[in-house]
Amino acid sequence: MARPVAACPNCSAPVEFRWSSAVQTVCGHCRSVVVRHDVDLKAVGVVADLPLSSSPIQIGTRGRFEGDAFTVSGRIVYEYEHGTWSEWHLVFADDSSGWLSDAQAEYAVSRLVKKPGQLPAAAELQVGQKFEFGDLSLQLTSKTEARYRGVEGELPFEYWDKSEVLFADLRSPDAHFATLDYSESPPLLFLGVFTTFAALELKDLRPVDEGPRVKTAGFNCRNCGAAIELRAIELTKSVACTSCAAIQDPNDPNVLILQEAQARERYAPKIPLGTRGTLGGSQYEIIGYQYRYIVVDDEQYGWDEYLLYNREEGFRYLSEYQGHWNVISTLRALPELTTSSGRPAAVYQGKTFKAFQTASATTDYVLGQFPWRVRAFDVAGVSDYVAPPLMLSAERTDEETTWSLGEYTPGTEIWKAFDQPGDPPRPVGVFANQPSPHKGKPLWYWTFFLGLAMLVAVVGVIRAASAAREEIFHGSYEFRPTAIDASFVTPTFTVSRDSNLELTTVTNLTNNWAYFSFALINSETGDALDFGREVSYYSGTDSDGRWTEGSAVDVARLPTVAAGTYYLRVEPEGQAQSGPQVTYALKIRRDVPSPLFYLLAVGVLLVPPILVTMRAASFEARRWQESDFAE
Amino acid sequence: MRLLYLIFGLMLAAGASYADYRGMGFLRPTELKNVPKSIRDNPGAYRSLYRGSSRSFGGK
Repeated sequence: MARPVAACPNCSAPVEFRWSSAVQTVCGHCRSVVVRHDVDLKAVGVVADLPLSSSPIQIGTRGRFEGDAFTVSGRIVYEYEHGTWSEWHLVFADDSSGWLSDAQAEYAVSRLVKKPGQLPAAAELQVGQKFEFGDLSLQLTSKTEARYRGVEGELPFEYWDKSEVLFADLRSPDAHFATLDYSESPPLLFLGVFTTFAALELKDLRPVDEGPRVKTAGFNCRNCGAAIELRAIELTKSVACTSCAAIQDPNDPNVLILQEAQARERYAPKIPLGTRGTLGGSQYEIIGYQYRYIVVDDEQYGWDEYLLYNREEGFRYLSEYQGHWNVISTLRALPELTTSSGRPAAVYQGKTFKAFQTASATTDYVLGQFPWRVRAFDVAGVSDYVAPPLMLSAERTDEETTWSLGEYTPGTEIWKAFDQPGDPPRPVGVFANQPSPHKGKPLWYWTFFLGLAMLVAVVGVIRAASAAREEIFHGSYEFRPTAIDASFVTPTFTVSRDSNLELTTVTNLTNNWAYFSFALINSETGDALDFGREVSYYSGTDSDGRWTEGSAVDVARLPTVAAGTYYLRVEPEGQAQSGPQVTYALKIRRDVPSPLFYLLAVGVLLVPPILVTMRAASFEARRWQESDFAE
Repeated sequence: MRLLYLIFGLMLAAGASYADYRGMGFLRPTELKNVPKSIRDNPGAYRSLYRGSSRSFGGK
């Protein structure tokens, strides 16, 4: 289908409208802003040159969003205190219109809500407020005063004379977002969802330079004259000279020095700026470095933070504290704050993160480029929530709260990813989100302990059921303690195989005692097992009630007696002066099972799970020792 | 390590069963060798090692 073409009112060059509903476009020849009223075109001004862009998206780029094909037909560039972002105008196959927000390579697609109902007045807006739009519950995360920086291509409305615009951004826990646009009255509501560069299936992108997808430009440091190369051009708001550390604004025509190089302490990045490496399948370049610290109990804890850039994936961060590394991404969806086991927590994508530490982080030293206006001694409130190996961090300034998600990554992997020589710094201590090497082990060991203990119990029960418990001798006797010699020997009895023997002595003792000297004598070899047993039983009543002590029955167990023929020599003793006659019975059984060895086995089996549990607990204790919740 | 624990546990179960079957124990009475056969006819001639315990007996 032929696209409508008209002559530019200013230079007569052909002006093509790709989208039938376009109201405004920019003449590609003279850069006049051309506004369409019915069939008439009117040149209303000339756009300023757009800032250099490192975005791969351009007018004409095609892609898909949730199955619908679209073409990029226009763009508005906004600038605000901390950087710039682009709103790419999308024309879908059904001729409907949408917007692709490209903020520091963080992408979101939204559409104008035609009948949004009553929207809050700008003056009423407060960060943290919650709003309901249809089924969506969103929280206001930032209010942004933005400046119109430039425009290109076709737009669905006139947007050539705007200057300051207030935007309010809202986010939901499920990656939906909304923008309240106060450039018109009544304000406009855009609802959308965050997406990724890959998910958009973009084609006809701007050609990519060699190497990592980073376009470079440069200037000379105003302080020391050293050459400064810029990589993420449009996204760079600050650059700290790698030679003198003077922090400068590359977007200012005069390259204003934001902060003179000072005689402050210098820190050296462990991985040099400009180093390229592959993380998660994408190639990143380290373009910035900062040293930050918090102070807890008058003690300073500092860490390195590297800024990584990929043209399509945007920014990532790499933090390093005493050999512990985290790869960090900013979050699109908003975590929900809650409590877990009585402590503050945050829930993100169904995972609960426990509050770890809240402190004020100070930027002490910076090198390289940053997409925000960075200054040494910048201070931000930082709250960390951990669910090893992940860590959620909320960084709060007066204007906004930024959430990021870090994943603990061993130094060896970082070293390999960035092809660094030698070994990474050795980790010291336990880091907040360091995965425990003992994770899951206690549960495994206790589960197996239970299984093995049950096995031991089953073996014991089988053994108890199958034991012979064979009675091989039984005899009843009596003696008078006054007798001079009460010793005697029993008839012989046979032990049919090597086994234990159980000798039970049942007496009629009451408030009396008896002592039996036994000797189990092998009638063939003359070998004897000599042992003595005391039997005593006392009872009575006192102020505490009835009491008893001892027992009139005694059981003795002889371990592993060899098979053979035996007799028992018995020598009873008693209270010599006035002891009454004592009657007693002796019973010998062989192969009587005992729970002793099974209990011992279970006891020994307990040792490994207890040790593993103690080690795991010790690791966790060391982790939480550094938190706000140390005990 | 976990496999070792598993093997160790199985060995313990087998060992406990064997020790119980054999009637093993930790406290073994004093063993005496070559007790004269005449003891059968004269039990009083045997001198038990444990005779005449010095323990004091009595109730509460």
